[in-house]
Amino acid sequence: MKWLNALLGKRTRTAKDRAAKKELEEDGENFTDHRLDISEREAVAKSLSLTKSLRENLKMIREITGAPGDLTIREFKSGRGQVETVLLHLEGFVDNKLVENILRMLGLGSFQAPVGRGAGPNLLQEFRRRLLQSAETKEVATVDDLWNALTNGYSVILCHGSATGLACDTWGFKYRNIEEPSTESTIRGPRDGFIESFYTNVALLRKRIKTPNLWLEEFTLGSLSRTKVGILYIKGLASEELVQEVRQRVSRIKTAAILESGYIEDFIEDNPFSIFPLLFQTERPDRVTGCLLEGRVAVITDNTPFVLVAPMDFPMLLQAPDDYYEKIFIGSFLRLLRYFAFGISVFLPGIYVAVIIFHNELLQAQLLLRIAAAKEGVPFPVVAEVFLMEILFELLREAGIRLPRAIGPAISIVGALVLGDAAIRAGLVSPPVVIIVSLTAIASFTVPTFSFGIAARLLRFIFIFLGGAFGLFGIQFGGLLVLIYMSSVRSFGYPYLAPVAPRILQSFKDLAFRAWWWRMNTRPLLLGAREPVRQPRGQQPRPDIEEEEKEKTGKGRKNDH
Amino acid sequence: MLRPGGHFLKLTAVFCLLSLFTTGCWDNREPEWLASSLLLAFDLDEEKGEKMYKAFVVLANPLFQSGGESGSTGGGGGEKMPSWVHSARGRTPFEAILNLSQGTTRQIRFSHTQALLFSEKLAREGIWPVLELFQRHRELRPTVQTAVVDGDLEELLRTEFPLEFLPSTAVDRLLRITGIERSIIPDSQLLKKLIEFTRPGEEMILARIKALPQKAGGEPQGEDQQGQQGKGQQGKEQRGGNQQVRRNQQGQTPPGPPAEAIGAAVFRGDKMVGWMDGHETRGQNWVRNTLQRGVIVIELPGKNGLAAIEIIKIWSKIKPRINGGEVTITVDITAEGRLQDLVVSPAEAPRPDKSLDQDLENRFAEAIRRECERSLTRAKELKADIFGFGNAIYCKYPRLWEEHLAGRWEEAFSRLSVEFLVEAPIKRWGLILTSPSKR
Amino acid sequence: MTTEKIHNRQLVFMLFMIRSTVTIATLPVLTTGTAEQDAWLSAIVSLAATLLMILLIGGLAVKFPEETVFEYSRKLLGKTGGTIICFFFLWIFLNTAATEVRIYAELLKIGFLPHTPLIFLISSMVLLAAVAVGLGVEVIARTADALFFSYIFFIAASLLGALKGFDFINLQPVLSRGFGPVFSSALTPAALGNQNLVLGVLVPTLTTPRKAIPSAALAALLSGIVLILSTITVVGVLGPKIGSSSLFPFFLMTKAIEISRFVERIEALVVIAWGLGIFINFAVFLYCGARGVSQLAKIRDYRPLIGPMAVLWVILSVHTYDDFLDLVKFFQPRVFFPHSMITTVLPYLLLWAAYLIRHAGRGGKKYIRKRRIKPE
Repeated sequence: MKWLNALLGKRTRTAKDRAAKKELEEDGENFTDHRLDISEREAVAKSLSLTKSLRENLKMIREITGAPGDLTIREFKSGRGQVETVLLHLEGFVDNKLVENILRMLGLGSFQAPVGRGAGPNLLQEFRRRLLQSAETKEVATVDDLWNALTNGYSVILCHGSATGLACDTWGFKYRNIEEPSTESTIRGPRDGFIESFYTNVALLRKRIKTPNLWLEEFTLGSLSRTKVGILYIKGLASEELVQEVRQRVSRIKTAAILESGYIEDFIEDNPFSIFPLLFQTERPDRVTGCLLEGRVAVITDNTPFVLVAPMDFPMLLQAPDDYYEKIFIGSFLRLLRYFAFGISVFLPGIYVAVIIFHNELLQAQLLLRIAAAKEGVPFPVVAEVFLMEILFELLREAGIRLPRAIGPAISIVGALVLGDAAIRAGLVSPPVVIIVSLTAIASFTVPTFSFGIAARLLRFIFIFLGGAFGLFGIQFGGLLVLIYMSSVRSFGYPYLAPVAPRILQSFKDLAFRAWWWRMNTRPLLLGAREPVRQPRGQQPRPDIEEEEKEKTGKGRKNDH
Repeated sequence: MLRPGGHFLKLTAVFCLLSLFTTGCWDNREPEWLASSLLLAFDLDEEKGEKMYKAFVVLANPLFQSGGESGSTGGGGGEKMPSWVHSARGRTPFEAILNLSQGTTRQIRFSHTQALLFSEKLAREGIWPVLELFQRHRELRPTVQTAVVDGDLEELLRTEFPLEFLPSTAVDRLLRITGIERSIIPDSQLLKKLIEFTRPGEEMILARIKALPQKAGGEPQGEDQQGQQGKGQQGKEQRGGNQQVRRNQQGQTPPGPPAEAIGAAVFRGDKMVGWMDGHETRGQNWVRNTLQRGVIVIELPGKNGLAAIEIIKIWSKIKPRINGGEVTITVDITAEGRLQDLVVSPAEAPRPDKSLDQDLENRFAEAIRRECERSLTRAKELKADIFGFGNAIYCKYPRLWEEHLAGRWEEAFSRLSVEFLVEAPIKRWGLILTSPSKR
Repeated sequence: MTTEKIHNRQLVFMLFMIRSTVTIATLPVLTTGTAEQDAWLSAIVSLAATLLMILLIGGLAVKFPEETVFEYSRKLLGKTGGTIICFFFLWIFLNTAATEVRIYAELLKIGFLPHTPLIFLISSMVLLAAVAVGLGVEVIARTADALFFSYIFFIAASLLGALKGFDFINLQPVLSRGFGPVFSSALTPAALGNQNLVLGVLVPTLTTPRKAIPSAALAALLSGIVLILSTITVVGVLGPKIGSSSLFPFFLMTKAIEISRFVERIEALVVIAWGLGIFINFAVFLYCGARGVSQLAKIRDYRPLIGPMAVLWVILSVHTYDDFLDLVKFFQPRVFFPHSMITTVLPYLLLWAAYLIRHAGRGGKKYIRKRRIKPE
């Protein structure tokens, strides 16, 4: 298990271990053996140190990696044309201009360099001294190190006669541009979103929080994928226990690959049976920033624009970033609307079924007659009707996501017009059901967090059956069950339903209504407990504020005169 | 520390899912299995010398609704009637309404019943069994509008109301609108009637719906207000009998209203003892502070014309008092009027001044007082304390009531002296002061 | 397990819901008393009695902030005596809870679901409570937190909605038959104050146990106000006679709500809202019962007991009462008041006596030992 530990250990640790690793015996014969399984191969690669012979090294690399076409090996002679040197890099990872630059520096015999046998190590030192000006460099001692460097966009220089290689940063991977995330668009607010690059994402956050106390801890997870994962928090604001808990849960992950932050979510969330997301995920740097400033911890994963935030509570799911940017009235109104819409998207079909087949006295006589009239001749029972239409809608939604952009409108026409209209005309569904289902669909799109919408969708089906079987009593039963469950769930030790249950009145200023920013003087009670006060009180704008301040500060001045 | 027990929830979830499939759906009814009752009416019938309750129900027809809405769904919906009147008999009201399903193809749901009607025959026999059913039954509720029908109950239900699809809506609105606009019927919500029935020293009074027989081409025999007025008291005070049937130029009569709400049925206990006309009923409304709107026509001081005064706001209170061992009642009535009409030749139009106002006010108050007295006379005739005078005494002097009056209130009521103190300011004259004339 | 803590505010909410649901569901002042239009006076009297009851129960609980009543009663009265008293309390927890489940199920069955088997309704409510108890008292408390305002809203809305038909004459004459009927009507709701027995189990879980009495008193005050208001409204709307002749006066009142032709017939919603409060009620009682049994049997965790207790509860609930008349009879003052006196007040008086004697003076120890022989 030593190799695994080394693999999972922090980057800084590799330097310390290097001496130990050097002593490991070379085990070069095995890695051409096709019978070796992946974990054995990994272990072998880990144990292989570079040798002094350049040929040997290149052979080793070729045999381990299978000599892929994207591994570029440039051979040349340096040290006044006497030392065989190679420069390795992976296509696509590097910026060719930077590589050219390095090559030009190395190839030029214009500088004084050690010559002759045994010049390799000295030469590398010389290179390093020179290249330091232009690029980050580091030494690599094992094949594993070398390969890690290559996959991180380094170019590696190997000299004959040196048992270490010199890796210099030539990172030049092409990413998509920073653009507005399509799943979380806002009317007002910044238009940048996370991309697939780890450090770009970190930079997006650091651009917003420039304090040196924004701390980043990096992990490399996945024995094969070797994905970079970082936890980000504001030191001194996020509680140490929370950070420790996140750090511990993240570092505990032992798996082959992390492809998306969803993998991490599965590994670190509190309760695997929760249908509600227990970690908040977003593509928007401003939302993550807001969370960090409340004392939460962000988990950034390489190769995905989705950043996780822990701990999460229920109200976060229904808050959109706009709420904080718009004026409070519209912000609060929209938030209330969203709560209402969430209620609709979970309960409406179930309540419809319950009311129609159990409690039709709740409807006004005319309304009931209309619905009954529309239902007349429809061959399905109400439950089946609603259920079928909901399934149909789910199909449409899923198809809409999977389809190529160009066909998207076509499917919506087929779905909405052809299917819906034809179903009504053929008397297969009644129009009220179509109205209910569309209302539910529209309402479910108002939930700002997509993953939460999924939970609502699942619940909706359960409530349809409960409503159909036991009426409002069934809905009440299901609702209470969900409520009990949600109030028992914790996200990283923080109650999920806070500040509703347990009730924290102080946090109500940012629940269904948003208070003015000059009123949000305290941080959320549970999270920001380390320093509850966010800002001084009494910043309400008023006409005499400047004079007051002058008076306060001017007292001293008056004495001067 | 408090990890939600995964097993517990899993088990719960499994249990819930299983229960969904194993247990039947006991109480659900698909809408197409149901027909909504919109109106219930009860009559008395006899079978082999046994009293039988006859229940009428007006069922809304969903087929008609769908026919009217979109032609493509229910085939031939257009020919269906909007509602269907169905009847059945039983020894108790509940048996009767349950027997209704003998002839219906759908289960009847009573939760949307809007109105409850009684025939005169049943009302005279006693209606408490029906009222009791309305409290006991889980679908029926005490918010329905209720009335006693003067005339043929069944025909009323079967006739078509010109402005409404459903007779139930028609009856419901007729009662509400008449109550709001004319106040010539008592408050007709069932709950109020139940409370009246249960209060000591108070009798029930139900609205009266007069069914007007519809003769082909003939003139419906509406209750002529004017005529009655003349009989009653010399036409000194007249009211806008505006329900006159207008003949059109060709001499053909368009169908008149099939029913009108006017007057009241007076009960002693749960048995009806007699009718009251519109005036008498309004007198009752004056006393009980349930009057909402109405008009009083008075003669002008110079006896040269009429003035219509609309009643805007009223307040009244019954005050029992003991005078030398005898209980007397004083009723304070304050009514605010508004002059709406002056029927007088332009040349003789009175000048608007304080004395005229005073004069009109006096006449207005006098008219109100007379109406109340008329109502009281009729109530004493029927020996039914529909004003709740007895209850007022009970509220103020419970001892006296329990010891002396409770047992013999009927008789005491007929000798009760009641004084009406009416104050009736006419505060506004409308948008003009006096009728503009050529002078 | 003992580290579970609930806030005093949560205790207020829980107690409020426990107290108000059952009083609203049956308004026993009306259905079992003879006060009629003076029922609201009985409600005030019963509020005072409930406050006394809280002093009695909570006062002792505060003296032992670390222990439940099942623990200190055995300390105070000795093993045998304490155990006998504990069985009394256990009986109350089980019986009150079973009765309330039964009332709610009957209400649903009479009002909405006539064909649904009673046992199904009861067991599904019990199942909910059992799940909540399994997750711990903290979860119950948080659920109470979450439900409190919606519960208040529904009650306030139904009271306000009914105001349209309110008639002051229905509340007159005041005190026409003196205070006799008022007091006799107050007996049952006052005896229902034995619900405050949950204090004996919940106080040790409080964050600040020494403030238990003010919290409980606040809850009693709030629920008393709700009881008074709803009695006034029910009598004002339905009249004293119809009010006292109906089984669920509040339910009948909500049936009479008619704000417009569009907003009426909303009693189903109101009953569902009761359900929210009643669920808290069930859950707390099941929790207290389970805690009690576990402490009597010296089992460390009460959770394994929940299943069997829930089953027992369902059986009790179904079989204690044959029909609704039995339920009504149970709440008659002449049955319920002595029942409550014997099972709650008497044991507590004994406990108090033991406590006072023990703490009266150091020298009285021998005396106590003598007295402890016959605790009953």
